[in-house]
Amino acid sequence: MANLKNLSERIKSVTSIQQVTKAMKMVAAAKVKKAQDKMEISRPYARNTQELICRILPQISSTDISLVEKRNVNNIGIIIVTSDRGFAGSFNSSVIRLAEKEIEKIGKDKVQLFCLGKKSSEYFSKRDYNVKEAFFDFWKDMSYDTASDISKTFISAFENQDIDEVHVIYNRFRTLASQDLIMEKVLPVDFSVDYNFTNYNYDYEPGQKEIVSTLIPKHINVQMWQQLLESYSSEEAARMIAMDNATENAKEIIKELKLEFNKARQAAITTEMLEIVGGAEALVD
Amino acid sequence: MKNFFKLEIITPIKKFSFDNVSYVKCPGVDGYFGIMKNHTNSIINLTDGTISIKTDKDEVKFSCSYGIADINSDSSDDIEDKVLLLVENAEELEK
Repeated sequence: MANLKNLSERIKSVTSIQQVTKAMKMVAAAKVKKAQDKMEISRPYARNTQELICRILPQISSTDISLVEKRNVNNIGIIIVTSDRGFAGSFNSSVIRLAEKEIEKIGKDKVQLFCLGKKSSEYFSKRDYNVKEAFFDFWKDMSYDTASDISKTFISAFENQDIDEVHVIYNRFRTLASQDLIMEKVLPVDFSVDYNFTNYNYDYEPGQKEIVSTLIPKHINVQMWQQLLESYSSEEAARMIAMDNATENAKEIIKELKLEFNKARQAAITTEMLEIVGGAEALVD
Repeated sequence: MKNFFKLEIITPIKKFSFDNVSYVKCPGVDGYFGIMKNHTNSIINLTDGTISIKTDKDEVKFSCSYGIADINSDSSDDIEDKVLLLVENAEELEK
């Protein structure tokens, strides 16, 4: 009988796990949708800033603007975008794995890390990497200011010549079931996009150079914002899939446990009946 | 209808569009300036302040943080007559 009680307790606990994973899946799905909407809204701003820069930049010499200028590369900054929480399948570990590989290629002492999210911050500071800045606990109430704060730190490091190039590693959202792990160069900014520019007369105030120098940090900010959103929606999508699988697995386990439970129950009934029949026969004799 | 132009205020998290705008006042780096139809094509840095918009129906005001104005309200060329205000932050002010 002890076996029966055990089994029914296990069924109960797996059922409650299943309820939790199911709820987490639904929450994640709602969050993906929200992040996607935010991404959609940020697009016109990003597109227009980039277009403006592409329009003005060819008219001035790019060596005047520090954020565009290419330098000899000694030190590299890498921004690693991970999440604060787990339960998202291989979302964080794949980012960390790629980052480690890239760092090894460049040389550990030449790399300065900007870690976003608890997962990468903890991982890299425990292993004696050169973590210059770590940001975490911002995903929950993520705002555009967070993105500007983050980009401010690496822009100033770049301007002080602490680092000569900045790259970012993050998950880009493709579909709900798949993300692309991406490494992109952030600084110096490349504007290789061919913009079909017709030379209309424009007045510039204060001047072309000043305008571009204020536009480029904005462009980097909005880029960072979009990368954060991409990563966030990938994270929630990954969590959604992971939780969906967990729910499925729980269902399987419950099915097996129930089968076992019923077998045990029937066995118990059979033994009981045999005992009664045996007892009755003994009385007749 | 000829003296109207389009206006868009675009921030990373919001977008406001206006169709029949007759006059906009923006906070430029060197003080406030106004935009009407047939303004010279210009690109101007904006600073923190208030944007006032006059449309054919009413007047609206926005607070804004620093940004940039891309003005194409000159009807003599073939670019669409449109004024873009790219700002980091914009909120509509109560009337």
